[in-house]
Amino acid sequence: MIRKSIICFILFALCYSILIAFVPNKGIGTHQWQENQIRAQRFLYEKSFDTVIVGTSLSARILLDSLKNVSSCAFSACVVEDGLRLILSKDVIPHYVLIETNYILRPSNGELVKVNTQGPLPLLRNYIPILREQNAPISLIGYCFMQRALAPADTVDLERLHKSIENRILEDNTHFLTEKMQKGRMNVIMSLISKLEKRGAKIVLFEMPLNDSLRHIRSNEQTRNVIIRMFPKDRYIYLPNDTSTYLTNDGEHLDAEGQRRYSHFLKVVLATTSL
Amino acid sequence: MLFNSWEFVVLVISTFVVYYLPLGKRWQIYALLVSSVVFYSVDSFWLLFLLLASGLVNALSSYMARYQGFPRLFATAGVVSNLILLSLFKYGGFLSKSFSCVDTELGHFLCILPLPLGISFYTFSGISLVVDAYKDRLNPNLNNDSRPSFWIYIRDTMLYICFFPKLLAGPIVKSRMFFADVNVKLLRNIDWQFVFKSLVVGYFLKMVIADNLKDFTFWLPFRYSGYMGSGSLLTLVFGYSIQMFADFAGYSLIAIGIAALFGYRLPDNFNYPYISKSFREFWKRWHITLSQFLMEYLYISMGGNRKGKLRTYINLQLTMMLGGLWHGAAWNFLMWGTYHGLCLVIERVLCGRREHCLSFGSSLLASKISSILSMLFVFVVVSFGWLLFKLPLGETLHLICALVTNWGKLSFFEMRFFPVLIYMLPVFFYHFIYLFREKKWIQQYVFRFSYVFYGLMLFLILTNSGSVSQFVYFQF
Repeated sequence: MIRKSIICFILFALCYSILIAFVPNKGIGTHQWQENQIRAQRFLYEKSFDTVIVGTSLSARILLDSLKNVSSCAFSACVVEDGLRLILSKDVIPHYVLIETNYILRPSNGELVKVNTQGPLPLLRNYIPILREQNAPISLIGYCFMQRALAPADTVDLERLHKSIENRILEDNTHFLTEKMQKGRMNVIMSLISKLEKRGAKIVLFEMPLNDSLRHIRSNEQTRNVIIRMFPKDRYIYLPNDTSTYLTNDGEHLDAEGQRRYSHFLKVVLATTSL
Repeated sequence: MLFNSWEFVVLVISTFVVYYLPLGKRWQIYALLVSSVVFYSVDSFWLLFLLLASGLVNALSSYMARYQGFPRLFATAGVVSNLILLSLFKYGGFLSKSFSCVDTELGHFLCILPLPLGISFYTFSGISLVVDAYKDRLNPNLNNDSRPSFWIYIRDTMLYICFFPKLLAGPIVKSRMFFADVNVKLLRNIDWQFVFKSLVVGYFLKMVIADNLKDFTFWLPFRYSGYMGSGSLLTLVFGYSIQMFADFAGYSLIAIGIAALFGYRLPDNFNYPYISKSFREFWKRWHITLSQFLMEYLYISMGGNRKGKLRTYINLQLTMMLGGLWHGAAWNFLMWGTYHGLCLVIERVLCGRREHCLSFGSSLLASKISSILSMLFVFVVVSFGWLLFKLPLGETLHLICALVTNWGKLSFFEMRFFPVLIYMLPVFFYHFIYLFREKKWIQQYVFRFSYVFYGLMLFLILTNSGSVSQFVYFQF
């Protein structure tokens, strides 16, 4: 019985490998973690890109379709540190690393980097495509049935949402870091950035637009001050901020229209900044 | 150390090799003890000493209760020391916060005490050991022989308490069953088919079903749930119910499979609970070893059903409330226990000991309809009960309100939750084939080709596992 089961398993794996060969890169993330995994593994195992965006769920919403030769290491429920570590784990480093600064001080739990760089699976994924998240059976089912459902969310203004969501975001943003904690976090980020720079990458900083009511709250101002201090403007490239009003789903994350607009803005900026 | 981590795989393989070395038979128990220590200390090195101390106290008190004078005194001391340990580390902070004593020195101290992994399980094992020793129910072979050497007794007891497959989340083995199993194990006696089946189904339930469902049901606690359609909310509620089953049943099966690899047969912990036709039956099928423990050491000790109807209801309610609180030091666990206690009491009042909680006559057709409706009813009620397990009462009520008020207002079902339905299917199928196991077509087409299903499960474990996470019951 055990032998028969293992033979069946091998047959399933072989048949599926053939199927995958006919529908490469089709799988979609059916939930947040899977989306992150797919994005991380596309970055790790596919061709190298000239420019990579690193950030949180805010910049994870930038639409890459129109941005030529740009990849993304921005992940929902993850932080800048995760993206930087993933880039460093690769042999070939991109020329430009675009770093979202909004929540640059948030600490990482390291899970995403760990599962994609440690243990035998990352090595095996390099040679056996069915082990990659985008080829998981559920991702292909998602591709067949759920593509429309997972399209960018509709326009919802903060005002239309329940007060509790606004309160939650405001509360999340009232956790100030002490000077010591700021320093500790920035040291981690700076050491990763200096490793990237040593390997020839250029660092570009940008801030994602938020809902107007959240743009100038104290914790965000605190982060901006730290960024200016740690990344002097004469040494690092800053992309201009888009100060026009954006609608968000929950105060922080751009709605579908906002995602399109900001992606276009970024495209124009990247073209004119001559990176 | 997680069962679904590479470190664990390495630990099991290396222990297995050492355990069955031709010249190492007399060191088998020591090999398991060392592995158990490594297994526990990876996550909480300092709390390992608490585990060892607990094991020693239990070994001493049970030995004294069984073989020395004053058995009642030593047994009481053993049980009380277990309860003190559990109260201090698990409930101290909870009581301190609940009664606003955090500002006092003692209150603050209780709040900063860490929660040792698996404390509920190893203290219950300890209680079982001491009570069994007191009641003279240890392995008859041991009892008939002359008194065992103290060191051998300590060694076996430490293995009973610390045996790594069951250390963190059970199954809770009764000491008399475990001690009867402690002897030299041979490689040729391993039931490989049993080990294979347990591990494949266990890992499939945990890594493919529970770990994937977890990434959808995490939306339940957020206030966002108020903005979902009723269909989506119902899907998440039932998805969480399936996740709980897959997580814990998966863990138990892995534990049983690993233990069998070392020659130990742990008791079944789940027996297809979602085909239960009454709440009484549900608790005979869900977390069986805990239910039996509570039944034997709590419900019956309080008088069970021997002291009239009212006392029976009170005993049932109290047992379930304490059982709920055993799961975690928080009010919502108490609420969850109370909820199940009420279900049991109401069922007992309305239906007595009838097999179905809903009955529509005695004809064959009526009996079948009763069975199906009873199963659905129990599943729905139990599933909503799980909300109390996950959320505070306020949020649970908020979610149920949203479920009712959003009916017809928002899009009934969002396609992004479609995978939840897909992940629920294998668990329903798992119950379904058990339910119809006697049917000829099931035996002909399912059992005969079961290796295809095991092959498929192996394939899905490899290609479709969710994000690695702790087992829900590890926190207890």
